[in-house]
Amino acid sequence: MAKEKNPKLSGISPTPLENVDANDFKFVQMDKTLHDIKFQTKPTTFFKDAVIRFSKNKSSVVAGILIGILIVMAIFVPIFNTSNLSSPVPDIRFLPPKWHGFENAEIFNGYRDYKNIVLDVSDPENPIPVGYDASSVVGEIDVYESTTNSPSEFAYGGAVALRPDTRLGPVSLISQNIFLNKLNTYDFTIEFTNRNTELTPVPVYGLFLDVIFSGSTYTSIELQAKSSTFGVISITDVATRLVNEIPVGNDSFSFQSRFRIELDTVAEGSYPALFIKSFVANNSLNADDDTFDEINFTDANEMLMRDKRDDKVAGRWNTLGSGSKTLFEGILMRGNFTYNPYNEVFGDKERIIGETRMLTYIQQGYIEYDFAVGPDSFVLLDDRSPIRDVISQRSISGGGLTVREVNAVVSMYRFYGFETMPYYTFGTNQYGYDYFKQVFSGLRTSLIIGFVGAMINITIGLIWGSISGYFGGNVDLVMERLIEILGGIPWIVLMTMVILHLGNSLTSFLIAVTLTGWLGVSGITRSQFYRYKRREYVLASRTLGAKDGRLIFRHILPNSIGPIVTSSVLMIPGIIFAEATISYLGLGLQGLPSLGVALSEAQTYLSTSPFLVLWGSVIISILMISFNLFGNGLRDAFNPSLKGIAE
Amino acid sequence: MTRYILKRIGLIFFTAFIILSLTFILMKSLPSDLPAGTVDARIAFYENQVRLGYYFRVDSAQIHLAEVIIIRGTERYMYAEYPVMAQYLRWIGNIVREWDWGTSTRISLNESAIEIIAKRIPYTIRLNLIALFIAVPLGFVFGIWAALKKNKATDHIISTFVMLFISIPSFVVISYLMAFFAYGLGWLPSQWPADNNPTNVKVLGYIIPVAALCFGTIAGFARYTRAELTEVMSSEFLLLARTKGLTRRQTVIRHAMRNSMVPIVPMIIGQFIGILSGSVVLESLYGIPGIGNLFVTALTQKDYNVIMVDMAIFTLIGLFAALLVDLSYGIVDPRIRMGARK
Repeated sequence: MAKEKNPKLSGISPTPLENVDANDFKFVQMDKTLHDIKFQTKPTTFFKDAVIRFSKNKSSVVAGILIGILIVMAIFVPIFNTSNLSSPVPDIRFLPPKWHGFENAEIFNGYRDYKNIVLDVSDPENPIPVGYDASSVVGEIDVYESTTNSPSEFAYGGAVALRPDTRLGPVSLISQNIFLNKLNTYDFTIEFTNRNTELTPVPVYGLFLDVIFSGSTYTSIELQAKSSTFGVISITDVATRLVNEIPVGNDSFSFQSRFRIELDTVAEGSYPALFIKSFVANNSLNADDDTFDEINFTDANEMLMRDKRDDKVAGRWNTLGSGSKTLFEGILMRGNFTYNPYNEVFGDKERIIGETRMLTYIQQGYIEYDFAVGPDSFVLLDDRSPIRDVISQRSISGGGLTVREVNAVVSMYRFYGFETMPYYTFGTNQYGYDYFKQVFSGLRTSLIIGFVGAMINITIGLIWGSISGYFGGNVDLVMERLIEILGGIPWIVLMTMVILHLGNSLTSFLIAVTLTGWLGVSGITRSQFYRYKRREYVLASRTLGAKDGRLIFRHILPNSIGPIVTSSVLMIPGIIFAEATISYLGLGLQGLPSLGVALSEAQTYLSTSPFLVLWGSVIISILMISFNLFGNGLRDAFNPSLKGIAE
Repeated sequence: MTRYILKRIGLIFFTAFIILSLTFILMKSLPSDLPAGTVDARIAFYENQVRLGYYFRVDSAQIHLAEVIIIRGTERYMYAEYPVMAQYLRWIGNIVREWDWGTSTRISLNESAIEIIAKRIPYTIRLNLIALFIAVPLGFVFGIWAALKKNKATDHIISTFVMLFISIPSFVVISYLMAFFAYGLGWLPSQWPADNNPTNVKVLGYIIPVAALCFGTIAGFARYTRAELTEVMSSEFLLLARTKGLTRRQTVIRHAMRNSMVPIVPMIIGQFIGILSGSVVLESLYGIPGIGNLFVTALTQKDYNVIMVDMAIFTLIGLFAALLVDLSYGIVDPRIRMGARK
């Protein structure tokens, strides 16, 4: 390194005087006056330093931006989103989320998946989900067979299950009365299912024909003795048995009779059940005989549904004795399918439109229509018109009045007053409100409670903690005891009491969150004051004659502000959480719903419309995470030595 | 030490007394709801109130005083309430003399409120203990892991999850769990199975609420353990231990962990209280018949006596837990003397 050594540093041996460079002995600043040199670097304050440190913490900055976005949305979404949150629209409730540009995507396309929906298979090629609009089904229905034990107009087959429900006597399944002619030949065929032998106890039954020979008393003719034989039972030539029983002197040809299946009950244990698949009786002499039309059945479901027919003829088959007849394993087709509820609600639908409404549209210049001419005169003038086409027209007269109405194709979204097909970003809730707006209006309320509550808490906490910490001694002792008592009340108890007393208004919520919310700030302020009040600069100021107030607010407080700011920021999510919890207890804000109310109301529909809860909780989670990250970042920025240490 | 404990217990009872008194007076000054039930049960309820001294019978001459009139056949039963402060004194008397906290008006008419609570408290305690036994070791493991791998990928992943689960409220967690595992996949029951279900179903029923309770606790515990352990690990005595030749494993297990325990053990008790109050909403969301759910039901049905006892239990548990936390500091670290002047 050193090629030319500086003679001054060259070694221990003294340098001869003549070799000394005269320049080394020149005065540096003979003609200058010395001053303090101004710092070249920019001066920084405690806060600027904190901001610099904060901005280096990426996650906190991101959290800060997220909070900013949420606040901006909470302010502007309720202003610019014009959908109503005041009058429920039952027709459009529980619409799933639908986003622009996602129409063909897998998610947010506005479709819902339905499972296990009963199908109407009266046209086997074209099954229709019961209760749904067939034209709104997306793609194919995945049809499969299932069984049902309750008769339904969409089910078929199965067996009639006859069960006694008493130990006292048998139960019978009886047909309605029919007229049997002794000159005819009747054959009965009854089919039992295999189920009968699978259960214990095995049912014991008998078959009877009850005939009224005179008066109103039935005479029982045993067709098959009590036994447990199953399968297909055929009883031929019933008329001959009838003839054998006709009392002497009775010369009628035709007798009122009923067919009866009697099932024995058991003395203990579970009750038996008899499963009957079909009953067919016919007159082999006359194929056109319609005597048995009402009681013959090959389809148990259809037989049981006869009771519900409009003609209300009760009891083609009835129970006699105490027991029940029910359907067992009727076949019901069900299906899984993807459904487009937006089309069901907002698509083009055939609707009956009255003359007055038509005239209004004509007056608005939307359509052209002449009631005298009929459907052919329909002309669509304006695309905003809800009436897209007229199919037919009819008049109803009555009481001297004639009402004319048309059957028209109505574009439902235009009918509801939308200009384009609506898209609900978060779907709609149980009132048909736009959940996106509901969530962000709720967020606004929650943020207001959070911010205002935090501000009140900070103010009270600062004052209380300052006084307690600054004065110390007996003042501190008394104030601390009060805090201890207040701190002992669980917040959930306290909030509940306040809200029960003051009602669930914004004010009472603020009171509820501020009654004990300031304790934390007060504690931190107090310890900060203990730390700083004996410092020299405070003493110096006091010797100069500063009063207590000046010492507290001008000297100590600004120095101890760091942890106080941090705890205040962390307080906001705490308040929002507390408010949401109270909403879950059913004591939520009324009139001005908060995020907690929106969420807890949607909770009821978690099983059917989970998207509501999921969206609401995503927002509340982002809010909580952002505030916590932001607060942690602030804490690290104000006090770098605490970095990574909780609380 | 003994004196300090006695002083603290005395303060607890004083605090509890003030809180309960305030609660009682505030509760009683709310507009009272008539009990629901049959005529006989209602008359029995008011007779009991008369016996306890909260109401008095009104005879026909003073009918204008009657606040409650129940008609059974041809007889009229009329009752009126004493002023709140008079009721308050009798209430304290009843508790002190007979341990009578009043009877339920709505949830189960004429049943003692204490008995209703006693029936339900095992569910809550069991649930919370299970959650605690799962959460503490897990939180501990994650915390230690993160501290040992400080500023590495493992630490960052654990810390991110810790941040997530500390922030997300437990009622949101249980909603997600229910939507996904119960309604979506159908693996777990979507609400608390009744007592008559087979054991395997009942065990499955614990999974969702315990998980929802655990996530936040594990996160809180892991964060705290990590912070404590990191602090101890950077201390000088640990450096000394390393310089005298101990391996890293030895220093961590023998020296760092023991020292970081000091603030962590009291935190376990603190967490238990946290779980207990957090379970109020969870119980009502999952239909668990515990005291948290009872609190919500009593609130919605306005059964004030039951609310009173419920609140008393929450308050007392909270106060005693605070005492236990303070005492446990002294037990874990004998250098910390309780009640010593600074």
